[in-house]
Amino acid sequence: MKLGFRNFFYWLGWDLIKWAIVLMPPLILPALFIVIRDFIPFESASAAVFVILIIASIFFALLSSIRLTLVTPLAVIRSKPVLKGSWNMTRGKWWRIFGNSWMIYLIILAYQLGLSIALSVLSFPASKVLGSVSVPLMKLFSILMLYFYVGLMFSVPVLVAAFFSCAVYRMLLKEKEQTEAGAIAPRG
Amino acid sequence: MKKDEVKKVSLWRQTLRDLRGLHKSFRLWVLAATAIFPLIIYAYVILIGGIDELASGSRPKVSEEDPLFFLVTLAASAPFFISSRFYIFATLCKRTI
Repeated sequence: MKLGFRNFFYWLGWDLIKWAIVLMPPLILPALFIVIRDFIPFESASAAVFVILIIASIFFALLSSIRLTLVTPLAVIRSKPVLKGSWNMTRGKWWRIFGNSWMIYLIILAYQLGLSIALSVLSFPASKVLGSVSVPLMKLFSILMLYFYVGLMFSVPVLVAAFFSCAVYRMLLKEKEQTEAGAIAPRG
Repeated sequence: MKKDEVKKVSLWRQTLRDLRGLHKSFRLWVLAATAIFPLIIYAYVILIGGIDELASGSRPKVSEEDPLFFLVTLAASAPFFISSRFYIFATLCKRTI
C-alpha cells in the first residue's frame, strides 16, 4: 500500500469534517438557546429547554464520535465512502466500541497520573538543588520540565488513540469477513 | 463458546497488544516523538530566552507570555503536528490493515 500526498489531504479533509459533525451540535445548540431564550415565556421552561438542548448535544456528540471512529483509518487508505462506511461498519457495535474506548481512556488516565507523580517527584529535588545555585537556572529548568511534561501528556494519548481506531477497524473488518464467509454464524 | 462462532477480540486488549509491538518500530517512536514537536519549538525559544536572561540578567526579548509569540509558534508548529499525526496513522494502517 502506497500512501502519499493525496492520502494526506484526503485524510485531513475527512478528519476536519468528522470533528465538525461531532462538535457542531454542542457548539450550535447553546447558541441557538441564546437566540430563542427571549421567546420562552417562563424562567423554568427556559431552564428546561437549556437542559434538554445540552443533553441532546452531548448525546449526539457521543453517538457520532463512536460511529465515526473509523473515519480516520478509512480516510488514510482512501476507502470510499468514508462517513457512510464508518457509520455502517459500527452499526450494532456502539456499546462495544464505547466500552472499549473507556478502558483506553482509563489506561491513558492512569498513565497521565503516573507521569505527573513521577515527574513531580523527580523535578522537585532537582529544582531545589538548581535553585540553590541560580534562580534563573531553576526557572529555566521548571519551564523546560513543564513543556516536557505537557508534551508527554498529549503525544502518548494521540498515539494510543491512533492505535485504538486502527485496531477497531482491523477487528471489525476481520469479523465482517468471517461473518460474510457464510459458514460462520455471528455470535450474540 | 461454540467453534463456529466469530471470535470477538477485546478491542482495548488488542490496542495494548499493538502498542506492545511498538518498541520494534523505530520509525513509530520517531513519529510519536514528532507529535510533541510544537512543544519542542516552544521549549527551544524559551530556552534561548532563558539563556539570554542568564547571560545578561535582563528580561529576554522573546517571552512565552507574548500572545504574538504564542500564535506564531502555534502557526509554525501546526503543520508538523498535523503531518506527524497523519504519518502515525499511515504507518499503523500499513502495518495493521
